[in-house]
Amino acid sequence: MTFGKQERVIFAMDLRRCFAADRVPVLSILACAGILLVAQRGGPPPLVAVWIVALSGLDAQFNNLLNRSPSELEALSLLPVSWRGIVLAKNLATLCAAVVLSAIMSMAILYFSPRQPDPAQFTGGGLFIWTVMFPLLMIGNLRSVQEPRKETGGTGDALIQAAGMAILVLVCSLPYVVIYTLADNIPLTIAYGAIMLIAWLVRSVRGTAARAERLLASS
Amino acid sequence: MTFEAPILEIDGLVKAFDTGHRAVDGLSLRVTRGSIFGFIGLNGAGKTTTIRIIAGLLGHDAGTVKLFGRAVEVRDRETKRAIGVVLDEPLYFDWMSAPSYLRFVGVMEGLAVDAAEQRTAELVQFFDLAEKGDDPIGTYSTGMKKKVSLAAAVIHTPRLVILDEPLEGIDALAASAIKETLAMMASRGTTIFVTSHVLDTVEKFCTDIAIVHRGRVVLECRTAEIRKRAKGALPHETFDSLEELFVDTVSDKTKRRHLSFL
Repeated sequence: MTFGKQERVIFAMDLRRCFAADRVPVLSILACAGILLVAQRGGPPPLVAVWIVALSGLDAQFNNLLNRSPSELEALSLLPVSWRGIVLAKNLATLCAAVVLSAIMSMAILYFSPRQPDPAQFTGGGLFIWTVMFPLLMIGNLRSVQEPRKETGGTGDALIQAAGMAILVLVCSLPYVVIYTLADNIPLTIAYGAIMLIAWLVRSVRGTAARAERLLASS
Repeated sequence: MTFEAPILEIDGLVKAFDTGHRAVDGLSLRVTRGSIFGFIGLNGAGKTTTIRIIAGLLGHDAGTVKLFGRAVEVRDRETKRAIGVVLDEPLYFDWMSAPSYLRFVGVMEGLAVDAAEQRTAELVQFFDLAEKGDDPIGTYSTGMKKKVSLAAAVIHTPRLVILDEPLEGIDALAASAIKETLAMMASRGTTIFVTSHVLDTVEKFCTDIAIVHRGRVVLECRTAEIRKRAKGALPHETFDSLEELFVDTVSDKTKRRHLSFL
């Protein structure tokens, strides 16, 4: 499958959507939550807190991939691009948005954090996102076609969804806790992330594309 | 007489919903290149379902639908690029402004960025969308949303434009300009497939019509032939208008059409 001009345009469009003006209130509230989280005694390492908050803020990007506008699924289906291309472009936009959002969040959270991350924590933070990101994408892809949300509420609804996303991030981080934090096995952590990457690319993108097509035909 | 290959060919199309209701029940029709084809019928006759099937937004249970000679299920990039669609409920991304949505659709449909930019500017002017500036489409009125949808359907000069109630909610001035533009597109070879409840408009605007009733085509003819069609068994008595022909074709003469209290 090629990643051509059309896919690049969808990627750019989706990335812009992540940072549209209507998302500012939710992201600001989540940044405050992140600051409170790292200020707690016994709270998570600052970089992990940054990732949890950033990923929670991207709930709709992960879990409502094809229905962020009420008629998005149908509008996309008319465009001369394959569903695989659409899913891949949108997932890559989510990946980029997570990186950009975490950079923005880290500025706020690390500024107020009583503990500053040491170099080892940067490795830990990198491995955390490497192990968590692809399972999140796979679960999000599945939820996007199984429970599409055509109507979304305002900021309050987005915060509830973000809380649900935070729980999902914690669940997906269990392998990281076991393999990296407890067993301290960096090669295995990297291998686990690589397996998840392949599973996402080979199975999830293709499966989501097929389900999107079926979802449309049955709508 | 020359043989024209149909742009759109439907044979024995059937679509039933979960309730068991057959929205389309053995519908067949042919649409030739460059025609403005009016697809008319009562509410619930199966027009929108048929359009959604042609546009690839809905599957069907039986029959065949061919676009440019190829089965509608084969939705490659070229086929998708060759059509423009306006549904009864306009399709758009509600958080985008009209210009950014039109640019997006233009580039997605294969236009170069400069060309998409230039056509967007022209379409925004043509459809009076400039006043909305960068407001998201979700905040527009129904008529304005329809205009955005129409603009997106023609930005890439498709070979077939499918329009479901395109003029509904649109002001008279814009409607007149839209009809003129569509007629001009048809004269250059674009095929227009349109549904409308405004029969006067259909009669003046369309070159061909099909009347659909209870999921199947009950009458298909050239618009120019309407006034030559004989009423019942009297060949010298003809229909005065499409409206008269339509009512005669689809009305249930046994049904009471008056209210006792008025």
